[in-house]
Amino acid sequence: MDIITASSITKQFGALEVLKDFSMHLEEGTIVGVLGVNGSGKTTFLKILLNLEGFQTGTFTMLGHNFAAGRKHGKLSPEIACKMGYVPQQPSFDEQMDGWENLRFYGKLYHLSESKLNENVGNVLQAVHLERFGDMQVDKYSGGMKKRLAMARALLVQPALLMLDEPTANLDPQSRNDVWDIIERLNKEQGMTVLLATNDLAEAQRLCDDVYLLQNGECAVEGKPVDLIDSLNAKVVEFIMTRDGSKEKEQILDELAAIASDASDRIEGYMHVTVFIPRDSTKEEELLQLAKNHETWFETMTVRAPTLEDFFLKRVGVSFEKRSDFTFGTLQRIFDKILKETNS
Amino acid sequence: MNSMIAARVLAWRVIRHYFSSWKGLFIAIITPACMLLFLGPSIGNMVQDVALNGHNVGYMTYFLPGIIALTIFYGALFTSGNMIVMDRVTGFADMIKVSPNSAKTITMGYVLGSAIVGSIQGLIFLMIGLLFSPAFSVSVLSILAIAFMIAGTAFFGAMGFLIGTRVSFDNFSLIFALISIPFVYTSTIFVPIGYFPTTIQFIILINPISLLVDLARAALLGLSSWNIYFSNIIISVLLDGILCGVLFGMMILTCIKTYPGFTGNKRQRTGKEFNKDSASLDYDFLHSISKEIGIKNLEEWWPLLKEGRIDELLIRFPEEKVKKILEMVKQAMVHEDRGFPANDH
Repeated sequence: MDIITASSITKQFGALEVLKDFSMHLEEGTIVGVLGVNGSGKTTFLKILLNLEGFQTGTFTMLGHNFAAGRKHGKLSPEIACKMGYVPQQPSFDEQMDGWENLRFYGKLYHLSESKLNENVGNVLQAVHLERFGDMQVDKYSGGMKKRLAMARALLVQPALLMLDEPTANLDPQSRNDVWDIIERLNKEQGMTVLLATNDLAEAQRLCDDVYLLQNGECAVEGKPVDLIDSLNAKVVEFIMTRDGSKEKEQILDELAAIASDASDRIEGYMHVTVFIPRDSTKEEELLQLAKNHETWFETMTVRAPTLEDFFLKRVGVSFEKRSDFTFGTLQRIFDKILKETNS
Repeated sequence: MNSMIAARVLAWRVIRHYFSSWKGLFIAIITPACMLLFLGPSIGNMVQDVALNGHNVGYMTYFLPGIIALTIFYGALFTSGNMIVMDRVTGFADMIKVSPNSAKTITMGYVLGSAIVGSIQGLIFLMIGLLFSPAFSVSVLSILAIAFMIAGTAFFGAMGFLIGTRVSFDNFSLIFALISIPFVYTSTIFVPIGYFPTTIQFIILINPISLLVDLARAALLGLSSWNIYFSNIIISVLLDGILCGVLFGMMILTCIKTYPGFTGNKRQRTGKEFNKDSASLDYDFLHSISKEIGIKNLEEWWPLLKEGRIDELLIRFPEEKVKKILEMVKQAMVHEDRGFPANDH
């Protein structure tokens, strides 16, 4: 059964089209990821579902209720709101209250009875490993603890649908892992349906049953992470180089590309080269030989299985680490041009 | 029943916030306290008695109901306004909004909380006021007047909520001052109604602060400014009460009807904050640049900049503005964690 079915959602802010004809579906008991660089429309999509934003065209069905474009955004009906848990990108709490009080406050907003509230608050704090910090004022919580408290708040009402907006953004690896464990456990043990907006491909690969990549507001790719990775039918060889920027390096890189089957199989970064070779080939031996021949140029060579990040790098040309291509290169060029013109 | 619980818990949060911060208390009490301790006695030394309803009363006796009204006004208006603005800035407003409560419940929660805060403050000054009003006695009239004052307090709470849902954090203080100053200085707090030009006396009397002052004077002194039109004190109190009730009703309806304006975290970040904040760059950031450079719509400049249509940008805007856009965006670019919206979004 589908918990969410969205078809042809378009959202504009003035002349800016944030979402273009975006369709997706989320089945009960699964985790679906909406991926994209910052500003790609992930949060906007979540806010549309939460009725915090309106949209211009399209329809969606969520938890059995239909929503059409052009409706006045405002409040979700209580019936739906009670079945949804939401963890925003930047969790906000009443920082003058402690963890317990925040959860109790929120539980009362969700009309939980006193006995249910006491039971649930304890349970959700335990679920996110914050039981020892319940009586600590929230402004003393670390970023990771706040994220976990936000998860606890969303779980308090035992939602049928959990919406997470970049739940591990800015977290240290340990806290990130903790949050992933919690999400996994909720999904596997309780069958909770999760909609996850993220720009962390490792997160998507580990947690999601299905992913939708938003690029410039449009869905560029959709599929199961396993299938997407499998479709590469490749092994990944990574080189870390010792230095950068000379003709000799260019020659070495050309040799690398010649070993790989075509030019698109070589992806270059600063001091970092990734080469895709067919899964069943033995080309890594040739590559290793090449590295040995130019050993002063190579720090390390690693052969590994491809990841979702590799898929997006190769097939879509999107590096989530580098964010958008627009980030520095394009803008910098535009700036230089403008500055030159305005100064002349 | 459920909505009552939700409104109550929202109101409780407003009250708790207010009383847990000495700053809020201090700001709300400092002005009336200064008036009570310094301004009132000084003017009292200058003017001696004030003629009111044919009675001569000491200036402090006259002034004290005004101070009570002023305390209530600032307490209720600032509490709800400040609370909702801060909730919008932190994103907490969205969390309240996605809860299964109606616009009415949420609005009532904030307004109830701020009305209680205003009333408690007013009550404190009322107690102090009794020292200056030895004639005060508990009567049906005084109880009625105090009850009606609660409606007036709630009106200002709702007004604060409406302002808070409409203006950005940056503009809140300015708008708050712009609205509160005319209210305060066109009321009967400082000067008896008889001293205002006859042509504007009616307007002065229906100023919501004047209604509060009048109710406080009726409760403490048994006198009313309406006596310039009629002399029955009970009718005066009823009129004040009805007007307060009508104004409150109109204001609360406006709040509920315009509730969607509460949505969306319309946070405005200043240039200084861009660099400090390691959060992802999003359209809030671009909108804030728009705001800072005084170009209303983002789409007027962002698509041009994005596509490198520099000539058009320079034709449309003065060179200074273009430079400022560049400086601000570039400032953010040097920040490592900062991502930019992708080509189109």
